[in-house]
Amino acid sequence: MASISLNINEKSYTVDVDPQMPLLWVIRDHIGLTGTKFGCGIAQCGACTIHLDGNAVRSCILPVAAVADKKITTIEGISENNDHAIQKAWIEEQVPQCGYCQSGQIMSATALLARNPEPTDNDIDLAMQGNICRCGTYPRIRKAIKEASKLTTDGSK
Amino acid sequence: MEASNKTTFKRRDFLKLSSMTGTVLAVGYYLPSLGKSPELINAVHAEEAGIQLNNFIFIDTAGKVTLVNHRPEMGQGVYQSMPMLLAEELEVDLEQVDIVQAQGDSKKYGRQSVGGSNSVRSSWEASRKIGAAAREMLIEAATKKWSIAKSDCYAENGQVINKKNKASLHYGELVEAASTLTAPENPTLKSPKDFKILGTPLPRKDVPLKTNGTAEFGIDVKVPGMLYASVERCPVFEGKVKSFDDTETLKVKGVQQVVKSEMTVFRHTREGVAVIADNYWSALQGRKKLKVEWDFKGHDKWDNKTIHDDYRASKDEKGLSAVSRGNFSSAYGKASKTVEAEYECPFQAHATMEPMNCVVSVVGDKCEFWGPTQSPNWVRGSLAGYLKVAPENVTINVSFLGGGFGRRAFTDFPNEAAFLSKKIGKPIKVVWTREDDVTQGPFRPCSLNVLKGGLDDKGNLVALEDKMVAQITSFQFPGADKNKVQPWFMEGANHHYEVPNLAYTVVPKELPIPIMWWRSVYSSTNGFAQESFMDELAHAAGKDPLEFRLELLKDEPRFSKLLETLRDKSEWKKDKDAAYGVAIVHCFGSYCGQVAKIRKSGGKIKIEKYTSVIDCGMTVNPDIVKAQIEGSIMMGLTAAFKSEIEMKEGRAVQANFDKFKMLRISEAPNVDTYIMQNEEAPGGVGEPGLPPAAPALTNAIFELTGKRIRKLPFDIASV
Repeated sequence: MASISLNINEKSYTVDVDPQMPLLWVIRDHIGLTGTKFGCGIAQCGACTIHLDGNAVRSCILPVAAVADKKITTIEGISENNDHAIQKAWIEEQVPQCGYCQSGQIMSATALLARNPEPTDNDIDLAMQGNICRCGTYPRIRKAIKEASKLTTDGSK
Repeated sequence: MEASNKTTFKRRDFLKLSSMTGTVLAVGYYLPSLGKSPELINAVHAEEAGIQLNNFIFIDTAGKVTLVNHRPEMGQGVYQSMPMLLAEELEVDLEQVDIVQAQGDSKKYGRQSVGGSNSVRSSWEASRKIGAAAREMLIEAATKKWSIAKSDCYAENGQVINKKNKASLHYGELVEAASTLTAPENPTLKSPKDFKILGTPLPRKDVPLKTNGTAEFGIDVKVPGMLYASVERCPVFEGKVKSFDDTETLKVKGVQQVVKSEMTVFRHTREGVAVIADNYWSALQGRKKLKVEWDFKGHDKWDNKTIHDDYRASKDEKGLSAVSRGNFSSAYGKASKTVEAEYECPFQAHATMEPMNCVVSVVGDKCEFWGPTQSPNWVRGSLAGYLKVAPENVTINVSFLGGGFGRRAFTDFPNEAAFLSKKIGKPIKVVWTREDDVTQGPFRPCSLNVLKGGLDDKGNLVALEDKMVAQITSFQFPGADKNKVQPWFMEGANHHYEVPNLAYTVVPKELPIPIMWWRSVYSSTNGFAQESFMDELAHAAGKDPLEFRLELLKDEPRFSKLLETLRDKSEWKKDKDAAYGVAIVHCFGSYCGQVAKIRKSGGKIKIEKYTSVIDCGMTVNPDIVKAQIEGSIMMGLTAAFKSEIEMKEGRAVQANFDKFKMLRISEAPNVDTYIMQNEEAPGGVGEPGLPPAAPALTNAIFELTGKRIRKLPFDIASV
């Protein structure tokens, strides 16, 4: 056990846990932010995607000791009010079905748009293919990312 | 459903005057039950607040309307579609109402299970009647206030309006008077031409909860005093625990106890060893250090090859007749050209993105369940029976489901959690790992379909036989009549094709491998076999595959109109550089046809587009219909060329998404969906889009490459 300080969604937390515990379980069970989901435990499905210093990473295989003092963002930190362009587009295109994978999808999509505001189909495929959706919302995810890109770039022009 | 009408359609079921307050019919007093989802509120808490809620509609004196969704939301959209049915007849704006999730209670809500693409079909009339009865009572209350005739007023947007002087009263002002009236038993339902809500693509109310992390799934539920469990279950179905050594497990910090566990699976008990800890990660770590010795009871001999050989050996058995007309054998013998082919599909896991889980607390003769279930009523009965307590003592709290696909209709995981809670004496949250979820079943059964077709000298199909060799899901239940064929065993095999001599037969197999409904059930395998074979027959007859089907369905207007629409919308064979494949399947009360358009690009098959047409009668929300078709195609394609469960030594080989492969966004085609417009009774929506997906693709691949694919999954990279 070790005392570890974490910076999540611009808030500081101190947890006393096994340093090898994956960040996913720390976030969910110890800090109580349950928007980040468990899907596979081996970084194959993307349900646990969070941002680490702005990059989309899988929290299910990331030991908590490795992320102390780094900037962590979870779905709860994107926007509670659903006013991020990706969230708006997700609602506009009615992307989610069961919704379980969608936190992870949104984390991958927001990271993509942050570094590439006008992604091509191929860019979208590459950035999003680590996120499985069993309900099969892929065609809508593709549309929504383009919609969000339009919302973002139109706003900045 | 009948039951739903009987139990919900009583005077006291809605618009109930509370004798305690004397001021309202039914009040929207409630407390959030699961914490943070503002709109996912459990209806039971209203009861705890002192108001008896035995209904679907609450209106407070301020006019605020709260509607109950009595069905579990697993992605299929009932959280929106069930309240839409109520709101249409009640004449309220869906944007202005709150939705609460019902607990599992068939006496209050009738049938609540979700499966078989059945929710809209079975609630279409029942729910509308509940809304209409409430509307009529509110109107009657207004007529008494105004001393005018019913014909002089109407309801609209949460108000009753006096036609003559345009005066209005909002529902909140009428609830008290309405509550003293008797509910009409046969309220007048609106004519479809007057629908304002039904048939419109209203945005889903659960969507905003699913884009900011606030939607609460079973895996997110926390109750006071709860412990976590991870269970090492016998890898071989029906095996038992011989002994276990938990010395190292108990050294893991956070692990509290290790106990032998049991889980009822049909008429068997699956044994395992449960690691109980104060956090889930510790339970997982402790589980890795367990040493268990199993007794496989001789069930470790099954593997893909033995099953395959056994099925092959059974294909000449007579079997049980499902559909029969004319004389197949005689006509087949006389045919000028015959075609025969065998089609195979593997076991499939459901692999819902949210692994199986739930929380159960057993205290004395009371039991409370929280979690994702498709069958609130069945789970309640199952827990009551298993714990030997009265069903009234079992409370079922339904969270959102992170996918269902049939898997969450089953009662194994709640029973196991109940066993552990009773044994430990605390609320237990059992969370399955992905490996548990994929390897433990129940699975979609594997299948062998043997098809024979006979053409006359003009290329007309005169004889058709389809023999399915497979395990039968319902035969696993105690007391099943194993000589009786239910129509759904051969669902997906189309008997509407105008073939004079036709024989569809089932050869039931028994294996110690648990199987279960999997999205579209036997239609997923029968549909692939038959719609591929129809393509083979069309080519043997020298006819266009779409025209060949149209000819055989010319007297079936819903089929033929759909095929004609599909031909137009898909621009069938207009692009000479692309290849097209078609399939049409009727199941769960709906008709769905699809065209896959593919081409070779860089030596690889590229699935360019799916065009899908569904005739599901009248719709509640056409956008949800489209979403279900899109999702069904993706799941159908996953089963076509990505995933399978193989058996080796009596256990599943694939365990996680590294081997049990799922379709990825880079492989997902765009989908255009068209809904036939008519006033036919609603058909199912969640499943009919799946069966045509695989054969439409493989038929297109035949068109492109001349290679006929008869076994799923296939390697699309090597075609």
